[in-house]
Amino acid sequence: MAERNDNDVAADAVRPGDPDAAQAVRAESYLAPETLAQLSPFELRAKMIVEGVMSGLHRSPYQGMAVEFAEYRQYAPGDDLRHLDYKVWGRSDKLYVKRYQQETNLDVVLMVDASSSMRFGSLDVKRGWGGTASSGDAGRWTKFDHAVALAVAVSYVCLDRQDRVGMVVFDDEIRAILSRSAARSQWRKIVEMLRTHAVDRPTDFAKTVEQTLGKIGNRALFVVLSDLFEDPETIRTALARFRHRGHDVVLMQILDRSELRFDLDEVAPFEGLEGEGRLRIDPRALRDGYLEALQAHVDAIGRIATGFGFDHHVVDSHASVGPPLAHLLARRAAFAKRSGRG
Amino acid sequence: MSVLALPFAIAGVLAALVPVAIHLLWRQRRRPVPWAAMRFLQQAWKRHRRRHRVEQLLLLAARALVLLLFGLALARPILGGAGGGAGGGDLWLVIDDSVTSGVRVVAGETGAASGDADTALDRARAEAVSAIDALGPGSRVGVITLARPAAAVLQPPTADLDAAKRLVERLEAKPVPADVAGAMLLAGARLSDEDGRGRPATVRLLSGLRRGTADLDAPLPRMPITTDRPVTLVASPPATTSPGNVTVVEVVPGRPVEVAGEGLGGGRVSVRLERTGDLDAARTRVELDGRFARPVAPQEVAWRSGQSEATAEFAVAFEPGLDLAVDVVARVDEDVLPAGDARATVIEVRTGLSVLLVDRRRFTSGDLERLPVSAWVERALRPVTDAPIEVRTVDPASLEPVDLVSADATIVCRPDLLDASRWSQLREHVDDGGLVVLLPPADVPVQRWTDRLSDLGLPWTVEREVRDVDPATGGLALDPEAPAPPLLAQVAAELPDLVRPVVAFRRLVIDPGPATGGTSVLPFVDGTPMLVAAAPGRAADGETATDADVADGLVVMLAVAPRLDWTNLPGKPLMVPLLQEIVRQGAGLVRTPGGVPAGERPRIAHPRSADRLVDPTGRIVALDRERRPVEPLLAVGTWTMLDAGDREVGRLAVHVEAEATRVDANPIESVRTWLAGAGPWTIAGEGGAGAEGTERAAGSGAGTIARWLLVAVLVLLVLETIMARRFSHAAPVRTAAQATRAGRRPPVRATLEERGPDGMALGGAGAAPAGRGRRRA
Repeated sequence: MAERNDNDVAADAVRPGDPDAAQAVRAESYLAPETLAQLSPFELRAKMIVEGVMSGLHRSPYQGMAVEFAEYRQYAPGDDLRHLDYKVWGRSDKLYVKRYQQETNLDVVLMVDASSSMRFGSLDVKRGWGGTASSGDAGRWTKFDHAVALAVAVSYVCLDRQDRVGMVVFDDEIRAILSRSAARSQWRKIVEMLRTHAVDRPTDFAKTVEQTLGKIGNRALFVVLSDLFEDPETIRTALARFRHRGHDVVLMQILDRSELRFDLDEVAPFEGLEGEGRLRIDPRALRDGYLEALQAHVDAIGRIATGFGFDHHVVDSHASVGPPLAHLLARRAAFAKRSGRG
Repeated sequence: MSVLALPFAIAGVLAALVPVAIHLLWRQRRRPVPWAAMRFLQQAWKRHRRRHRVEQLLLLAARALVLLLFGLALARPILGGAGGGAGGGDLWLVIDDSVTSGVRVVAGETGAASGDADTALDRARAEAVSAIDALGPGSRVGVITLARPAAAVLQPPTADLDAAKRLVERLEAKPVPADVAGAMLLAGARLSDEDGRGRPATVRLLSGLRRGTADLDAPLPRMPITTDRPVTLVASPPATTSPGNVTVVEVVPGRPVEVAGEGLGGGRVSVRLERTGDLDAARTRVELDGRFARPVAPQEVAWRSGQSEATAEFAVAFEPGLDLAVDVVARVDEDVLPAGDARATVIEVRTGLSVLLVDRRRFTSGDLERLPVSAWVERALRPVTDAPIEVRTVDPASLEPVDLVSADATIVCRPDLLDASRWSQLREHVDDGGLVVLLPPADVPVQRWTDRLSDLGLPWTVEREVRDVDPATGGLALDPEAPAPPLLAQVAAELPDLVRPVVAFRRLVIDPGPATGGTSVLPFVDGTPMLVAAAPGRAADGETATDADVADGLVVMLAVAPRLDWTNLPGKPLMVPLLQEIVRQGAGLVRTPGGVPAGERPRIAHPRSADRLVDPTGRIVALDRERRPVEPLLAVGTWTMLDAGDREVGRLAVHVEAEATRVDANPIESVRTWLAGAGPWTIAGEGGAGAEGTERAAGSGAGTIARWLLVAVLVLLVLETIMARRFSHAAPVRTAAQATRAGRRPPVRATLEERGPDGMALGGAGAAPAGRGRRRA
């Protein structure tokens, strides 16, 4: 498929009433126009100074001559008012900020969890939506589907800012790697890779991190898309490795709404997706205990991530991709501005 | 009664199992729910497992108990029917089938049954059948009859209620008194039987408890209930009306043995009547039937108001040439209790009597003063040559048992010459119903033979020395004012005049001792007896005989030898009637008891050849070794005695006991007090238990248990519902607000969904496919 602009992608992305069209452009189905609209005002900013191989939006750690005007950018909440161009404001009544500092591009590595637990989903979807191996026959919007949607959205935003985006698909080890690239078609490759990837193995996050760090030389932003059903200590070890190598990490813990609420009513045998066995329970009786355990797990991971200075976000797979992602981008921009890196 | 029949019980239990079966089937078919966050479920399960198990066990126990108790409540009759400890109850029916139960129920009487019932027994039968019909399956019925002797005619209690009803419907009134005391003892013993342990029991007394049935002067024995099973005692309401009823209480012939000789015999028959209940002025026609030479005209008794007793006298004449027992039946008009309207007796008609004189013959001098005793006796017995009494004389040394058996009476003039074996023969003869007359030997100054009287079982004490009366007094006279002994009842009217000229010059002083065995005396003016008569006791030596344990025969003894140097009796008019009455009346008394009450097993001592008895309907009853019928004599009327060759050797009248025919009602308060002596009886229709309450009290002692079981089931169901709701945490909690209200844990929040960077809520469709899908488990 040839390069398209944003409008083309948005036009192809959502055609609820045209299954044939949706089938033809399945990759676009993960990017709804609403998502793009919600994400467009934001830039993905690295909290940390990253090393780039090309000029970009991010401030370079290297001092140089290029402290000069570069371009105008529409004002976004959180931007430094010192950079507001009042002349333009007075002429056109529009808010623009001047960008004149040399910036470098950002390497973003998406780490997508393709373990069996990501195959879980409780949201019925229309025929033709989704389309990954995890949701194919079930007709459910799985956590893996949501991870794919998030990956596509993040990559799209990054690519739009000329950042390089790469991807690692893992379960108990790295299953696929997509090299970093700033090409506009990179997100389609991401979709193609994820759409057909098997989601049927257990997780080993620490091992995967070890393997990944062996392949990434420069500092980068790692966006982990996983349910993080791992032992917190394992996650701590893995994140320590990231921190040690100077990487930035965003943990996006994707959970299904039924996992978050556990509002099931009927006694049934529950069967683990990663070989945990079968357990016949009354969910109403175990709800409090389950939620307590899950909350404790989430809190533990949050504390670990915060301790390393990383972001940790719990994402409801039943929610839209756009608003949470916009929230994330805004938080990161605000944080970068407060720390004087923006 | 149980409100749930067996089919319903089975259906109920099956229905209760249906949801369980559905649950089990459904449980098998539940598809597993794939779940990613299994590790957290497992953690929760590990923490919750113990509590969950306890909760589930409590729920399981409650549910199982509900089913168990429900099934038990429904199936209780089945368990009871199987003879188990728990379940249905026992109903013991104590039914009055005594003679009084034949009384016709007066319309409007309290407790009167349906119009079909015309006797008290019919009413009792109907009540019994009704009570049985009211029982549920698994209940058992036992039947005790009140007629003496009380008998458990259906025991152990049966669960075959139809059979019990058939037995009850076959009950007939018997001509015997009620044996309430025996029934109480019997019922108490049956209630304590092991086979009824744990089963509630009810004893239902079905009787009007009229005076013929319930002798309130005789306290009832305490029922020997030694079981801890719940027992209810319910009596029917006592009869409240007293209809007038006339009973022939006695038919008394002038002589039990009529000696008619070759000519036309005759005598008197007295019919004594008794009236109970309504004592208004009335008339009663009395008839006398028998094999008489001439028809006996009926008599009419005119009752005055309040009069309760009357006697009708009949003069009868027997056909000549008879030498047999004649039935004589007295009848009155039929009234409310037909069983007491007729009474039979037997009069033995003889052409002559045989008397055996035991004396040693010797040549007499012709001196009237020295005329031997036996001569005087013989002359008294045969005052004329064609007298119907034959006299034989036998020497004391040659006395044989055959001599005794062939004589109607034995007069021993020389008891001093009898050796020990002869005394033993006399004893056996008396025991078998013989009549022995002892006369003191006239020429023996010391009467040592009197020591032998104790061998005969007589309580008399006789001085050995002959005591002379002071000649100056002119002799010891007889007391003309003394009442006539039974032996002389036929001459009682003339007796004062007859005894007045008689005096004794010498005599033996006799102490008659305690008045047992029917001792009777004809006393001198000083109170010592001139004549004593008694039935010797059967008790062993040294023991005191009782009325119930006496010989069938009779011993008569004179204190004077009938000789002129002892007394002037031989020359006085009393001599002939005295000896004639001793022989005639004595022979009658020992031979014919005058009739026996129905329901008894009398000893048939005479005639000795009697081998079996035949009742008026031709039914044969054998005699046992003690010469008693092998079963009580229940048929009222005249029984025939047969010897081994089927020849008739005698007859026996069986009659209803007069006391048992009293139909007047007892006061209910007295009945209640009387019954209380036996146990905690309640009168039906009063207090806690009633006639209609038989159903509740008996068949449904078990029904009460069932009701309590059902109450327990309901309580358990409520408890189970509360526990199930609490343990299942059924309150829906889907939002944080709901959880807060319910005091439950809120859901885990997604940190990237609620609010955007500007603080405004974010929403709308996202990358996720269109629409929020239906939440699925």
